[in-house]
Amino acid sequence: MAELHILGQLKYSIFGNKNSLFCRYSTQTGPNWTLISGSSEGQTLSGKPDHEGRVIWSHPIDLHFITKGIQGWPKLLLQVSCLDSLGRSWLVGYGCCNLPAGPGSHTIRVPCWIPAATSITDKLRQHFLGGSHQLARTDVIALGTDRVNLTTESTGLVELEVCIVLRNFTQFGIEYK
Amino acid sequence: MDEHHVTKFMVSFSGQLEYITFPAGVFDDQLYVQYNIVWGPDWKPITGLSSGTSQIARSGRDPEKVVFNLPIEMVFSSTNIHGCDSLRGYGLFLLPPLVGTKKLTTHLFRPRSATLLGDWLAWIIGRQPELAEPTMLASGKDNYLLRTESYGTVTLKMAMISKDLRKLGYDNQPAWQYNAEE
Repeated sequence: MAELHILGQLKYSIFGNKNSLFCRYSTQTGPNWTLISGSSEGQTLSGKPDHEGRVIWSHPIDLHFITKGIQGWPKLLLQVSCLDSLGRSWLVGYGCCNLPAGPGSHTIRVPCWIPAATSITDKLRQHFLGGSHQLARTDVIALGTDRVNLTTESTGLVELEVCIVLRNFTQFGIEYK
Repeated sequence: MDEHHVTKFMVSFSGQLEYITFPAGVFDDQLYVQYNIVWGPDWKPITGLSSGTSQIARSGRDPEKVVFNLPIEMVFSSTNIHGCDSLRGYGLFLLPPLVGTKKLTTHLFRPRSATLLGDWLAWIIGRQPELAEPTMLASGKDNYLLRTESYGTVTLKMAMISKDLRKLGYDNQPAWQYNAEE
């Protein structure tokens, strides 16, 4: 079976003026894929924005998949939350990116969004007290269906760097170059 | 060696930790850097120092930059890429699994006190909180939502040479020619 190594880092995020930010991530793959080492989900440390507004995470990612087919190439789902000075946390961004298929080092910037406040009371509450709306079904992050009824707001971006190493893909006739 | 008996590959990393920059200027008179190289279960170090400490340096004409030029050399043998090594100093690098020279830059961060009292104590005493087990940053697990703030960057130049990596079926080269200096 062909093997795929994903090595990299969740480097930083830019989300404007937030007190402290952290990110939960998970991977999503098709049925042909098996994760044999590494953890498919994790959480970064929480960082304070620096003078350029970036929150540095430098969180390592190390995944090793084996696969029987290329359907359902791995995706990375991100859920960024903020932590305020009172210790409350709420979501500030959802993001999803396909992991690249070509070997080598790739820099990926994932723009993030959040369900928007639609009523005036919600807007006022979020402006003065904080808090946000969350998705009840998080599978919407990686799916293109059922998005018609969703009103969203763009929030920030996350930058990650991944190195892809493939093994034995050419033996099975997969042409990626 | 017979091609069918190759079960291990070897990877050599050599490079140097070049300099640190602090965008608002260097406020401390003397700085030094400690590094650790952390690797996964399948890796075996052959030669080289896996941890080290630099000289004590101060900035020169450029007030934002402290040059160390600390050489780092390490040769590993392994059977599996999982657990590819990383390097940290409250900053974390992934040593590139790609052949060639690469210039890497990472941001530094330091932990913040969990309480307001700890913040004041750090300010009065002048000692910042430190991590008891810094290698935990390389594993990425169990950070218990450590609160941090960041300042400054570290730049590292690293060259990687591999042996028997392609014989074992691995492909780590991008389709286009990679220009590491850019």
